[in-house]
Amino acid sequence: MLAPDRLALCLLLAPPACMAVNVAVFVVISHTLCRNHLLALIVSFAVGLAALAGLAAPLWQASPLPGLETESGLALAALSYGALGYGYFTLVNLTATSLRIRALRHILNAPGQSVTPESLRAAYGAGDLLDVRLERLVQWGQITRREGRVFVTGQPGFLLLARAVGFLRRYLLPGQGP
Amino acid sequence: MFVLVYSLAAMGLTILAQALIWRALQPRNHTTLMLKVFGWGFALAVCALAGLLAAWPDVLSSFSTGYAVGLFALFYVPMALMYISFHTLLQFDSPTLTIVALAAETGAQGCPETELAALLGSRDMVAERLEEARQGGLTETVGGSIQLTAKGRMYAKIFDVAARVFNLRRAG
Repeated sequence: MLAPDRLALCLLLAPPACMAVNVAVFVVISHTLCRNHLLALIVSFAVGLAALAGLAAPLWQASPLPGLETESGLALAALSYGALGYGYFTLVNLTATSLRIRALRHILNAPGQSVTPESLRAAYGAGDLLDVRLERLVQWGQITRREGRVFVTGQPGFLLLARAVGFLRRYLLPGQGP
Repeated sequence: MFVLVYSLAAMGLTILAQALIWRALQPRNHTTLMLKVFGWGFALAVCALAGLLAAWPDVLSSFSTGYAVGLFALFYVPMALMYISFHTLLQFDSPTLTIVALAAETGAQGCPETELAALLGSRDMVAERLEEARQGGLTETVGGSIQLTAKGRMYAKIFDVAARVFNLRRAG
């Protein structure tokens, strides 16, 4: 039997510990098995979630608490892990896709850490930017390219996100946004 | 159970307060104000939680006040960061999501790449992002050249290390 505070400590440590598992698995996968970082993120998140479930079962069995206290603690831990996972997804995705971050890294690695606006524009032409995005969406299975045209695939992920963003923008940022 | 319900309610109330503030003020600098709103929301919620648990220690939760506050913080902080990062998607137009939405609109006919190129090419995205970086205090112009500020250098190094660790070579 665990003391209530010992149980709370386990619940507190479980999400960061499982997040560490998630990160470690992602780093290994992205360097060895898979260049599709979206797929690697999904797989590593699932492994971290499985680790959380593996921790949850013995905690639930050893719990001395009455009522729903343990279950709600585990739910809180699962939600925390989900939120940490989304934050991590955002960090990886920003690193992979953000033009602003690409420009910052370009300046950081330039001689004297200084560039002219013209040289940056020359490095990232509009055609290049479009091609990078289209290829990434093809790699993620969101679109296909045929005979100079772009088609959405059956995978709903980004399409749902685009619609959710449009919907929320209307209500949360009325008269604002792009 | 109390800590879970309290955490969900506190997060819901902060999001409601944020939405009301945004409707009333229509701020331009979203991230700074968002951090302030959620920071104050967190501080108020922690004080209220500690007060409630101190007043009725055995009735509300089996966990001691310190651990209950810890569980709450572990929920609230990542959730707030998740909401803030999602909110930036609303603020800035994502070319990737624009491509997907346009391709979906054209259905089985598909969207011509020339149309996408014309749409994305009509905007100088590099100049837009550089201006945002300058306004955010990440870069400065010195004698016609763009240089990183101390803040910009710190972020650039973090993402440069992340790109190497995560094996992400090409962004944009």
